[in-house]
Amino acid sequence: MSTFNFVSSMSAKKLAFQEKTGELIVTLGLMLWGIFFYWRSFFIPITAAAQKSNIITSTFFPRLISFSIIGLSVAHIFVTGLKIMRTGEKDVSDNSAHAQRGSEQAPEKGLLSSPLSRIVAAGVLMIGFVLLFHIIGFLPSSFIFMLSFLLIFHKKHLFINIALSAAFTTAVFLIFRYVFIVLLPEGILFESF
Amino acid sequence: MGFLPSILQGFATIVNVYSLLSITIGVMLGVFIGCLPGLSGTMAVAIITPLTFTMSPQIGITLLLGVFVGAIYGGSISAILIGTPGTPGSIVTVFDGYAMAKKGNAGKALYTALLFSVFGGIVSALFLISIAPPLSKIALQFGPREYFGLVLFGISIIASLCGKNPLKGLIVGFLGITFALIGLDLTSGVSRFTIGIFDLNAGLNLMSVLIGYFAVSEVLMMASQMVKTRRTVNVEDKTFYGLKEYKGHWWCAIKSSVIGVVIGIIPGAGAAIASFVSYDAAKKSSKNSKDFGSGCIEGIIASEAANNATTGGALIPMMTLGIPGDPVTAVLIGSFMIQGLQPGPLLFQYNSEVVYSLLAGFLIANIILYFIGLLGIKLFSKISVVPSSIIAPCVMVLCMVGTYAVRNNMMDVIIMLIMGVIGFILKKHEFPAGPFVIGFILGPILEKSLRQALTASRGDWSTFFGSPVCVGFMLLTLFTYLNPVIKKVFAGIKAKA
Repeated sequence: MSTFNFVSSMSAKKLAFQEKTGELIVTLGLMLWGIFFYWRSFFIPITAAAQKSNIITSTFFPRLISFSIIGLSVAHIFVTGLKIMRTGEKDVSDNSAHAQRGSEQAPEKGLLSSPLSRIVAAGVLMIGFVLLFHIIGFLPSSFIFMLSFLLIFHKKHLFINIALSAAFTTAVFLIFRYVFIVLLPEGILFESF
Repeated sequence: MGFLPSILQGFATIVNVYSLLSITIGVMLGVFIGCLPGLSGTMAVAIITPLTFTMSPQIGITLLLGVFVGAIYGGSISAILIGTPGTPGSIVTVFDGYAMAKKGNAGKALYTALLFSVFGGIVSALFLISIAPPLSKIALQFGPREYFGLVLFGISIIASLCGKNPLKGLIVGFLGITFALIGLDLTSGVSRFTIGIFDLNAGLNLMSVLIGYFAVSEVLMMASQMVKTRRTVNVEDKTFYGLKEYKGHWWCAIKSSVIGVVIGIIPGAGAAIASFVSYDAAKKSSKNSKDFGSGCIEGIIASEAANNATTGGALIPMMTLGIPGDPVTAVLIGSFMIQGLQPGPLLFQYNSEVVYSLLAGFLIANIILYFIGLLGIKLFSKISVVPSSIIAPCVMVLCMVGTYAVRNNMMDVIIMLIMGVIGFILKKHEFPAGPFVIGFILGPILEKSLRQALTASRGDWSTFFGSPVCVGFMLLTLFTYLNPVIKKVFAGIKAKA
């Protein structure tokens, strides 16, 4: 085996290991959601009539579903845990698509070089968009969001980005407001004026 | 009114300038969104639904049916030109379509995809028109017990169709049910899981959940995978070919269309599975099986006829039983409900005029697709290379407007964002998206039918065994769960022998 093949095989195994660990954490989160859901089911008020009758109450189905999530998550954690322990002999073929996709993409340099930083950037922009949407209304908030997104991710000439953002948000505003007669928020800041 | 007069009445209702224009716009929007890699048909229908709020059901829903039909075809454009399927249903089209494009035959590959997408769509529309009305009459006999069995089976089959890991599918399906249980319990009137937030008493708005889970998560996915790539496409001038070019391939098209319809009817299975199955069937029965994967025209025919044929197939259980055949029809259920139409057997009884016009509209949408596709091949080819760094913010703006427009409520927008994050995390770790939305829709129906049946029987659980239909569905559910285990046991026995 050549050094290149050995290195790529090792990185594929590492990738598979990381993915399985991530999957395990997500499943753990889902199990916790099931437990939370079960706990919250005790806060559901039960009417006296329902308590007296032998027919199922409002808590039965949610508890059944919580048990199912918890049980299935435990089973999945067990299976995934076993796979992680056996990573050495694990078949990484089901992750080959990821490895291939990764190899096809040219890594980008700078602040947004990692997927995590790009997700965080997009997430912050989205949260900002929701806040501004409420405060300053649809048109300015959409324009600011779109322009910021394009400046960070598209990285073309500023003028092109401004033109694109202005054209798209105005078109959406006009279509929704005047063709489909949908009221869009003016923003709490401007409502008083 | 009998079946034939009803369907003729449907055509008479739908053939007018406004409806035809709405179908045409719907098809164009569908192809436009479908040809953009990463934007699925489900997302297309979800983000366009808010545009239909102020329209009449005939116009609004037929527009969405046009989007559905157009998006499934649109996926093939980017599959052929850049080797990236626009929608999951076109994954198989990449095998031969992209190979043909690389050989300089992109025009023929695109025309073949269009022609047989339309063929598959028309076959499925004919099945829909002929099967849906009688099936709805049978479904009218269903009581709570039968519905309970049917929905239970629907949920189980979703899990079994989740590829290698049914456990993941089931967990996500149940997760969808938990979100559907938030809000007032309509049977007892008590609020559940609202954690003191008044706005949650009305439950999570279906469109906020769907737009967040399918579209916002996709924006995050695009952001995470965003890399600078410059793609170009070349389509030769000739983009129309006569029918004699396809002599000898029609049997393959018919077979693939029927496979597509049947797979479309099965809850949980979708266009991707249909195209894989029909591609495999076509390869096995073809004289040119060696050429499959290297630019064989039959490969494109099998994939495209099958994936478009699932559209009509998936609408059959959705319209007659209220059970979504795939994620797109799950979203369509929400669109129907917004228009005041409740999918299920009663739809045909109480809204027959609207329903028959929708069936007619669906057939017309497939015919319009041919002309839109033919005229727009070159334009859509250019659209398919728009970078995701431009698409993502546009989609996000549409998501915000669409979600807010439903109830003019900021809580819906916040829920959309939360669902987007949840959807993104799950997709990133390869948890299937479909079962979530199907669980979200079927969960409340399951609970309602369970409680209705138990109330009618005064809490006697054996009531479910008193209905042969319910027992049949429960046995099918059991078989679906045990099927992988049985297969493993048999494989083990065979290996030992």
